[in-house]
This record gives sequence, C-alpha cells and structure tokens, in this order.
Amino acid sequence: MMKQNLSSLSAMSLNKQSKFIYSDEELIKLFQEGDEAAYVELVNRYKDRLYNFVYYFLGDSELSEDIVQETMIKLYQKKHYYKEIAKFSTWLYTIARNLANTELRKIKRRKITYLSHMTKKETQYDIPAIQESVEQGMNNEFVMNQIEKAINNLPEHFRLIIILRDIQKLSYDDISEIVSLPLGTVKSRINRARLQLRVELKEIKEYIRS
Amino acid sequence: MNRYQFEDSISDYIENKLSLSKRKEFDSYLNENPEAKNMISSIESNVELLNTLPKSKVNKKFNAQLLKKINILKKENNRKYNKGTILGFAPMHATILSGLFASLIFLCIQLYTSKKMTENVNYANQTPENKMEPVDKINIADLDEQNRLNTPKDSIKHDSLKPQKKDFSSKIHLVND
Repeated sequence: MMKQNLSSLSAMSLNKQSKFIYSDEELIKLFQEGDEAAYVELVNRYKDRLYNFVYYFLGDSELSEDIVQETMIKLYQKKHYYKEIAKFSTWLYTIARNLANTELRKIKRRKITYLSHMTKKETQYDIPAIQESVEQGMNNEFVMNQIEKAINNLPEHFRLIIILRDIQKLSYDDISEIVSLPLGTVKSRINRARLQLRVELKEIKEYIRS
Repeated sequence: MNRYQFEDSISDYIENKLSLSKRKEFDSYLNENPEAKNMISSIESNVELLNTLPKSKVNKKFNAQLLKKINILKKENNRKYNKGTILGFAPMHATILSGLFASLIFLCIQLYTSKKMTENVNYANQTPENKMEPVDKINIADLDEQNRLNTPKDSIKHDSLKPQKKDFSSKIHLVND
C-alpha cells in the first residue's frame, strides 16, 4: 500500500470505495507507520458505529457527531498511544466513551444552572407534556422517540452497558474492557439494566400492541 | 433457585449461556412462577426491539469536515512550533547553541593569536644576531665589544654619554696610614 497524503484522500474517503482487507489492528499499525490512507479506512469503519453509540448515550445528534469527530481527531493525534495488547475497537470505544461522559457532565451542569435560574412558573411551563407528544404523532417515529427516551431514563451506568450490549452487539469481554469493570459486574449490570428497561418500555409496548 | 439467582441468570438464559443443569433449574423456576415467565418473554422482546432500532449514520460531510479540522490542527501545530522556535530550535536550545558557538569562536581566535605569537618567537629565535644565550654564559666584555662593533658609527658618539669610571685610588686612605 502506498503512503498517501491525507488531503489527497478526501475524495476516496467520501466515495467509500475502499478496498482494504486489513484488520483494524493492521490498519492502526500502518497508520502509526505514517500511512494516512489507513486512517481514513479506520474512520470509515467506525464513524457510524461510534455515532450510534454516542447518540443513544447522549440523545443529541449534533453533539454526538461532534464527539465522534473529536474521537477521530484524538485517534489521529494519539495514534502512538495505541499498543497491540488491546483490541483497537475497544480502545476507540473507550476514547469515545470518555469524551461522551465529559460532555454528559457538562450538560448536567448546564441543566442544573438553567433550572436553578428559572422561576417555578417557568419550570412548569417549559417542561413538555408527554401526552401532547402522543396526540401529535402516533407513528413509528414516535415509538422510536419513546424507546430513546426509555433508554435515556436509565441511570448512566446501566444505559452505557445496555447500549454497548443490545444496540452495539459487543461481547461481554469488550464491554468489560471499555467500561473498565470486571466481567461479573458487567453481566450483573446488564441484568439489572434489562429489568429496569422493561419497566420503562412497558407503556410503549402496550401502545404498540394497541 | 431464589429470586436473586433467577434475576442474575436472566441474560445467560436469554443468550443460551447457562449450563444444562442450570437451565433445567431455571426452567423449573419459570414453570413455578408465571410472573417470571412473563418477565423473561418481556425482556426477550425488549432485546429484539433494541435490535430493530434504526442505525443512524453520520452526516455525508463528516469526512470532509474531519479532514478540514485535521488540516487546521496541523497548520496550528506548525505555527505554534515555528512561533516558539528560533531557526527551528527551542529558545533554551538556541541559547545553549549560540553560547557554544560564541565560545567556539573565542577559542578559535585565542588559538590563532597564540599560534601567531609562537611563530614570531620562533622567527626571532632563528635570526643569528638575536640569538639568545643564557645570561650566566654571556661575557660582559664580549657583549660590550660586540655592541660596539654592531653599533653604527653615529651611535659611537653615545659612548661619551656613558658615565666615566672615576679613579678614587688617590683618595683612598687606609686607616693605619
């Protein structure tokens, strides 16, 4: 594979006609050796997966895209920090998870400040009523929104694990590495998260049935 | 099997990861508790529901935007690197190098001048009329004679300026005289 300049690869990265047959670990090694085409291929492989993960974790599409971009920039800048002892995917997911966590903390802080500045009347007025949403559109999009809401209502530690397991389809070992928790704790959290999600999704499932 | 053990084994049961004996135990618990059976079917359908969630994709301009950001970052890094350096060296290294360079020049000058001086001395030593001899070996009379011979005629006049040796013999009176 020829070493190529990043700017000359923008076209290739956009038309998505990459013919790489390399594993992620081989690609990152090539990138560490200076091959920027390998970087573009890694970006193409992971941008959507990471976007889905961050999107369900934060619930904001624009912010999620920014975080995925930041993750990719980190990958570009810190490529030499990756060591072959870990799987590339878990390493990248860990970067994205850390960035998403930082963003989530910022959002929480902003929300607290915003709510504390509002009067009681304003608070009552600004919180949208779920009933109103139900009346507005009883369609597929509404169902999806409700599922997203149900996921968002889960505590942070449950949400993260349920997204990685049930939406991203990652193995328990990979999840354990990404969240830096023992395998047993991960399994137990998935059980608890699924039980709690059952409660959250009860209403929406009844609505689907009706 | 109690409630806790049941809840801890739900995921393993759904994902077929229970051993045969544990699975039998789990199934018998489900048969005894219809509520637990409902719970399992509900969780299974939830997992399926999560699987059907649409896989959203990033904006089409994602790569272009990313490459743009990376290029900006590269330029900024270059600018920072050039801004903080003197001819490509960090300020501290530049100071050390310039100090070393100055001392090298000083050393060169010193060596050059000392070499010149040594050459002069050697040249002086090599000329026969200025050949130096140890002081104890020089005969003063010879030196006077030599000086007289070497001195140009005009300078002979200067001999008159030399202090004349006075004869004090007539003035000397011995104590016993």
